[in-house]
Amino acid sequence: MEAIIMPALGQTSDEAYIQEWYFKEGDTVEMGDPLLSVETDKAQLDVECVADGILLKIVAAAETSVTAGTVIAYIGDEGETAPE
Amino acid sequence: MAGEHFGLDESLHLLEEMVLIRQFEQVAYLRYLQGEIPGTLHQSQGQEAVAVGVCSLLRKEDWITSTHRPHGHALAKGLDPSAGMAEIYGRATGCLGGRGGSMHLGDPELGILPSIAIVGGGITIAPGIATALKMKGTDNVVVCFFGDGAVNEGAFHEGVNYAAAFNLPVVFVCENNMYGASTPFHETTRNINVASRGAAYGIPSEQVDGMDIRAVRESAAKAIETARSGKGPVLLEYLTYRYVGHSRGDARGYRTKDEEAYWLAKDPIATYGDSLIKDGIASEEQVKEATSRGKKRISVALKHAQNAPWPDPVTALAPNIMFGNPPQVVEGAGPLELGPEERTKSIAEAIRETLDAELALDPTLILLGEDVGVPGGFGGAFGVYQGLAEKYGRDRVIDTPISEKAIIGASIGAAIGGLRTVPDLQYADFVFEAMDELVNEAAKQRYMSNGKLTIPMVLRCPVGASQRGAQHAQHPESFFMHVPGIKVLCISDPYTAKGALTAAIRDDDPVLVFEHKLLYGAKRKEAGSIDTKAFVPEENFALPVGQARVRRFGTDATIVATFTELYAALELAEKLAEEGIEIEVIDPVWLSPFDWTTVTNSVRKTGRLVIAHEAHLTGGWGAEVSARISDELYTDLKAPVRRVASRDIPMPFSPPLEAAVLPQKEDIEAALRSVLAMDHRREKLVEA
Repeated sequence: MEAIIMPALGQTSDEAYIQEWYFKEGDTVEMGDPLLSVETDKAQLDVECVADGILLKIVAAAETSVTAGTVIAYIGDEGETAPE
Repeated sequence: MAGEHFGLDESLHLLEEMVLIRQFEQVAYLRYLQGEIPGTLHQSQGQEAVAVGVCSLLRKEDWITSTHRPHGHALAKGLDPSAGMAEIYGRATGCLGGRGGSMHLGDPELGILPSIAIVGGGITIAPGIATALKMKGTDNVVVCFFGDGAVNEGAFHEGVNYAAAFNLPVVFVCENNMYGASTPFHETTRNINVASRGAAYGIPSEQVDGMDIRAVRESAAKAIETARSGKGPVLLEYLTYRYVGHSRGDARGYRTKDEEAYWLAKDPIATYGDSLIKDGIASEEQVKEATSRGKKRISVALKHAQNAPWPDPVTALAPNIMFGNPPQVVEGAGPLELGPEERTKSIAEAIRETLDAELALDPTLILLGEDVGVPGGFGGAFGVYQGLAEKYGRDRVIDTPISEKAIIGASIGAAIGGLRTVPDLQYADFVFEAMDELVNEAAKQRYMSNGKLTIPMVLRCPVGASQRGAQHAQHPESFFMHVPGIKVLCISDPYTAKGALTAAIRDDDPVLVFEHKLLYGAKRKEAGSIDTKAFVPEENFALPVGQARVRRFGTDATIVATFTELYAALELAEKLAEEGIEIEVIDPVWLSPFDWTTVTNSVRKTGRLVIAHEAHLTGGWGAEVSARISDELYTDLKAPVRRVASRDIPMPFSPPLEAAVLPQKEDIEAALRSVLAMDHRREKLVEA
């Protein structure tokens, strides 16, 4: 299982606003898939998935702001449970 | 797509290699965003057909030079993806032990020079490696990769012309991705057809679709064959596109979506896979399998890198990584000895004898410079090379174009390729033309290669004011004392000239040798020349690297001086001896490594130090010596350390103006008498 963090995408700010998740919990995801869309001080862009597996848990919901470096989701194998 | 198909195995192999690179880049990027990879990344998604198309035709013994965007080139030339990934993770198992990182991937054992992250930097080094391959009688070649931005660097002109002039086996490969960082190539270049520049150098060139691996292979095979068969260099321009930004955090706002879509439709991996299926070379299943093989190798590499240990910080300081011949503690030499009249030689004669004997001894030694071997020519600016080309041949005493970057770049490259090189600058002032080659390549390639490379190059630079004005007078030796990885030798007498120059030539590290025009004792006497003739043994001998010479022993004060100031100091010492004052005069000989032991022992004894050099005062090497002695021998010093140097003014031409800028004997005497008059420790005793 892997904790997915919000990458540092902004030019001047570490804040990113999550617009939308393209997958829901339980979906199978692949490295390189667009996983969610975010808005930063610089642009609107997609964050790509960094691992193969199942999207076990979305920690940071759509329409919330998070700081770069925060865990936003967990991806793992069938049967694994994300931490609370 | 163009060109013939290859067999099934070869086709699938090429596809797998391109997928491998794409996946390496993608995974590295995503892991970078997750904060696992330090620093920055420059990636090559979209350019895989060039790297794989060209490198798949190379042997292990061929070399490549690459750029700040090197991942694809290195992997295609055979770098293990685990060693590559661990390197960009900064881990101990990386191909360079974490000393290089993303911008310097390489492995000399695989013919991959740690890549050069200075735009155009490899273009002057590649001809040198090719010189070594050619001189060793092989038909191996060098492929020099660079981007469109690099063709507007001076290095491009000097390097390509140099390779063309000497018919060297180099294939220059320009990956034209149309942007230098965010700036469109066409905005900064009138003639955007890079291949058309081949005509300017009289070499074959071709512009090719870099998104089509079959077209790349066809053109590269032809070019490599030309180079291998002794017909000289070729310039290839591949039109390609990077799908990602220049580096991390580049949102590509300077490109249109339409432009990106146009190039995405030409994706070298997708189009090649499709063509294999469509043309009946491979089945859909086989293409899928090759793709997943490539991806699988990267997931293995990723796991390896993530779990690899960090390097031990102590190894950052390892002297044997820094130098092939790390500095040793040495004992200073004593005054020069007398010898028979027939062995009393000038510095110019001693240098010529040294080069002559080393050329005879070591068939891998070559000399390079302007006007060094032309029949009926100068024999070097100060006649030092006279007769050597006749004796050893013009392929070992090489007359170069007036291209300082190329002379020194080629010397570095040839040294990397296994030769020993002695390039020559007519005047040290010209060294600034090649600061990049010296400071970024000669000084750093061994360290960046994790100690796998040695760079045995000796660069000769005549220094000193001799009524030639501001651009033929300078003393750049202090600059290089500041550069870790370069050794700095200052020659002030004929005996040391032979012993220290022999040591420098046999040393495995880059050495810059500074020689003063007024001390050469060459046939053509310069105004202000000093007779430095001394006993020089006939056979070559090597003095220890980093050894100072105490030219005169004394007890009352120490003078550390080089070149003309050394002779002024010796004269002054004789004068003061008549007054009963005994001055110790030290020639440091090497500024790097510096013989701190000899100088500190002397100052401990005398308690007084004057430093004299013709280099400018501010930031001159005397400042470093003064700072260090003042710091470490605070309690031994009876007076402040004084420095005598050229004033901080460009050297004027007219003799009286020149004299006003240069340090004079009277200045040294005044400094010396002022420190002799002081003893702050005694004053304290008197007060008590």
